[in-house]
Amino acid sequence: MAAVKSIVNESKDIERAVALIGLGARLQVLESETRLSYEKLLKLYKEVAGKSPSKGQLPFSTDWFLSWQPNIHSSLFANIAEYLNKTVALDSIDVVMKAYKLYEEQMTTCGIDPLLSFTRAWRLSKFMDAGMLVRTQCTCCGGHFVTDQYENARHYVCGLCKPPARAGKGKADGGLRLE
Amino acid sequence: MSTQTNALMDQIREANLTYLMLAQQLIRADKAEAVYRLGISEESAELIEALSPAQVFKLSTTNTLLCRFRADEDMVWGLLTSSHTPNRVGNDTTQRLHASILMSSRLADATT
Repeated sequence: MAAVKSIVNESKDIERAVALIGLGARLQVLESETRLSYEKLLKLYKEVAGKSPSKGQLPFSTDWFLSWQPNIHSSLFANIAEYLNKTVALDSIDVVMKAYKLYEEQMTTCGIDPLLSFTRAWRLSKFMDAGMLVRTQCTCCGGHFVTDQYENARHYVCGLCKPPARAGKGKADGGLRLE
Repeated sequence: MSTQTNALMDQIREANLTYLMLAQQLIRADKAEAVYRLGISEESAELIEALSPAQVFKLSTTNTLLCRFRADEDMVWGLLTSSHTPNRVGNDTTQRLHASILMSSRLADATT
């Protein structure tokens, strides 16, 4: 990867890394999306975020994106990212960053917490690139929602048209409620 | 032309001017974001960005609006005006979220 050491490229990487840390990305995201060394990233993280990065592995399961409330957030993000992917020529990480900004904005105007963290959003885009998660059209409202790749598209109804029994009953602040 | 039509024409021109100027501002700030917000292609964004003030003015002076209504699908319209209630009553926030998912998926689908 690091065939030619260029200071210009390194400065671009640092700029990108700073932007990613600002969005709340975990260290694993930075390692994967920039060519900077682990030590450098660690230093940068402490400098920008003012604290040590959280440790531990990233969640590696697709299940989270399919549960009711996260699915709504993920689907909005996935649709924005899909549109940007199709219309603008950008690096895939830039698409994730821009789509995330637009998603976060939308959440603020709706008055709910952005449930999808940047790291989750990045993870989602990786899962979708790998085909482990796909966008499926709801047969009831016609919107596209994130589903697992084996979902039967002929009978798929989204969680907003037909919420599961326990959905929207949580007590957490900033969450979605159903009547 | 009657004075009333004249006044309407003035208002249309005003709206067009405002729209184009805002679009230019958005595109210059961040093209990718603007493309999503305006719901246009990258080529159109480049065209609008390159317009000179004189061109913007000339383009605005017509008898039709340059921007189009986007929430024109029944389902989206119903959700935004709260007259659509599938199965269980969702609240205002879920309906708005649902509407934005629908609009964004339509946007994503329109450009293949």
